Amino acid sequence: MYPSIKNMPWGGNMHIQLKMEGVLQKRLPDNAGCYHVDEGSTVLELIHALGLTPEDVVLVFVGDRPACLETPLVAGKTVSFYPMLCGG
Amino acid sequence: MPYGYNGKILHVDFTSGSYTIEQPEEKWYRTYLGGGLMASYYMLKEMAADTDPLSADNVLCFVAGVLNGTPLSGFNRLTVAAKSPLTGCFGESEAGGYIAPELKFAGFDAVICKGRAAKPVYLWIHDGEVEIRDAGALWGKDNAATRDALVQELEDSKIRVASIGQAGENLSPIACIINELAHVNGRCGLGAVMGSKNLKALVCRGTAPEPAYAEPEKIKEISKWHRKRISSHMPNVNLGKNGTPMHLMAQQNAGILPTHNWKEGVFDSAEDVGLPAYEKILTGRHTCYKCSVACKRVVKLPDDIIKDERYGGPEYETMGSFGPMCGVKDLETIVKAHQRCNAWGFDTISAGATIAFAQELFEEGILTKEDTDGRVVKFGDSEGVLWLLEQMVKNEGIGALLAQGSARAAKIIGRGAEKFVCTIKGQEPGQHDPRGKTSLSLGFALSPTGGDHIECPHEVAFTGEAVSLVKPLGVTTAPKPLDMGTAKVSYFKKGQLTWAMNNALGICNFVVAPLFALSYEKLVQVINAVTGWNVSLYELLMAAERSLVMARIFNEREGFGARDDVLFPRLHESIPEGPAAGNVIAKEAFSHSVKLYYSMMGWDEQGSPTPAKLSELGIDWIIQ
Repeated sequence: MYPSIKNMPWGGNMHIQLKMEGVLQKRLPDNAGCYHVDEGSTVLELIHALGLTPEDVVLVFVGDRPACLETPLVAGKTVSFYPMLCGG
Repeated sequence: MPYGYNGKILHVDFTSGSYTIEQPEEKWYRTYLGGGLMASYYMLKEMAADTDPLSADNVLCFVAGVLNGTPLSGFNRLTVAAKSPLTGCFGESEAGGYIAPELKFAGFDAVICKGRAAKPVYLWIHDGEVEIRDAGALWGKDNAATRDALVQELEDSKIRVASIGQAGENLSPIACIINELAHVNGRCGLGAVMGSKNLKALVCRGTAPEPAYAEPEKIKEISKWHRKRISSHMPNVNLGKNGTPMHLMAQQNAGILPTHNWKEGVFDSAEDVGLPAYEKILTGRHTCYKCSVACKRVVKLPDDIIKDERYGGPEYETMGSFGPMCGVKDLETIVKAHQRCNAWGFDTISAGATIAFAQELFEEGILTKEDTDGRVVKFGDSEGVLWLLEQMVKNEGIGALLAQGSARAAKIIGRGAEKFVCTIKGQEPGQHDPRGKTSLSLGFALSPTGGDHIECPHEVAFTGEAVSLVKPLGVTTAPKPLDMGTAKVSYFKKGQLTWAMNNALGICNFVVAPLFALSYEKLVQVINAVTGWNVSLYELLMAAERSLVMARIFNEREGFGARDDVLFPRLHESIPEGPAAGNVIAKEAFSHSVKLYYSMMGWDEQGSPTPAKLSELGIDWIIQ
């Protein structure tokens, strides 16, 4: 199987940065500093492209704001992922 | 009468079979809000130091909050508080469900119980009327049978019932109180306090209109906003979809899943008892009063001596305590243990952890077949776990010891058993290992109730940019999960206040900031719409601090102090393997952090709140 074009340095038409906290850090791709996605992609699509599931993350930030699964990604912004590791 | 309240506190004396109704001033309500804060007022005022927790003199409080009964999601928590028979400390436990709003609708903001009835009774509160009724026919029944009998006797299917099972009747210090069969005031053994008063159940029903609110339209507007946000806010979406069972694999993946009586942080059968397996038995979702999060689960039940869908499916804490802690590799056994605990009225955290403790004693040769009727009791023995639970509810053999909780059982067993006790102030903590999120070490040690995992929002979600979520609390530096320095202590202090605030208001932690849907700004707005008070977040956090300090003073009065603000030894050892291998709570750093916390709280070096602090919080009456 060929890798998704979105994950290749030349794929997608906009780039973002990725940041992962805690146990998710080991899932950070090598090209996290300049990760290409299609314009209009959502947080959910990014989660899947990274091989994660929504159950792996408790929270995602796009830039400095908490995002929903449907939140569109923004060119140049950092997307931060927080692992599901809370309590109650 | 203040908006949002009934303005009535019910005081019941079960010894004389009488009751009185107190009508406090608005200023008092604004000072003591509700929940554990209001309970601590009565526990300090009306209970002498050194009171035996199972005596008639213990003060048992059922307290609703100012927001209970409003239509917002998650505003439904009932606090039960008394001196704990498990710890000897301030005992407090919260539960969702339906009975706190119903208590408000029935005409009261809280019920304060003293004395002991000569024979089993239940307390029936309906539309402002109060009756102490005979419960002779209910004594000995499990919780579902109790509820069914009450519905039949009162000829009303809409009653709300908080009851005890056989564990509470037997005065087990790990007995819980359950409302509507699936919502549990589990911690601190408060079911035994009900049992000691011969009180089988609190039953409420109200048909009168809700208490009046200052701005009803504003409440509706915020409720609508809140529900919309819950439907898209990631933490709430995940919680609704997967419930708390999703936490088991999360802890496993991080290497901090308490396993085999806290010996390890990974469990080789985690997937067999975690979310992947849970999805196969899930049949539905359930919720609390007017809550759109719906984190409760309904599951397909295996055939067993207890099989009642109304008890619901196990939550994460139950899955952890009966699964990895006991080495149980099948979800079916965990579901059975959950059903039995809810029916018989055991706290699942303490019950599972105490069984895990017994399993380790057996493997260490401290317990032998002579102690266990010839049975081998070891980690991973599913049938053995269920057998031990049965022994516990029958109060027979080894079960009679284990029904006392692990710390007391160890003292009775002797032979070096105390070395394997994993409790804090005598209470088995929830299934969260502080060696992967160190604020938990402070929460476990500094909670006035002992071993509490719900003391401060777990910091993992507030690192990096997400520190913005806790900035309204005054947190300026993002906490790091493994840090144990000044920034962590500062984070913990502020986080502890926000969850203490929720307890005083009667709010579920799963609906409100910092992680969940209702922002601090909206929370303050809704409180003011209910009360008309014009409170600030600062005032609410000060009330939360009042709550923590009053509980601390209660514990001091009982002889607890800095020497008790410690962890069990295993947490000062490295996690042996897995993703968190090598993680440890270093003793010296931990002790330093505890002292730093005292200092940040304005307490002296021995952890005692100073007279100046009491004056600042308006509670210097305590020492006058």
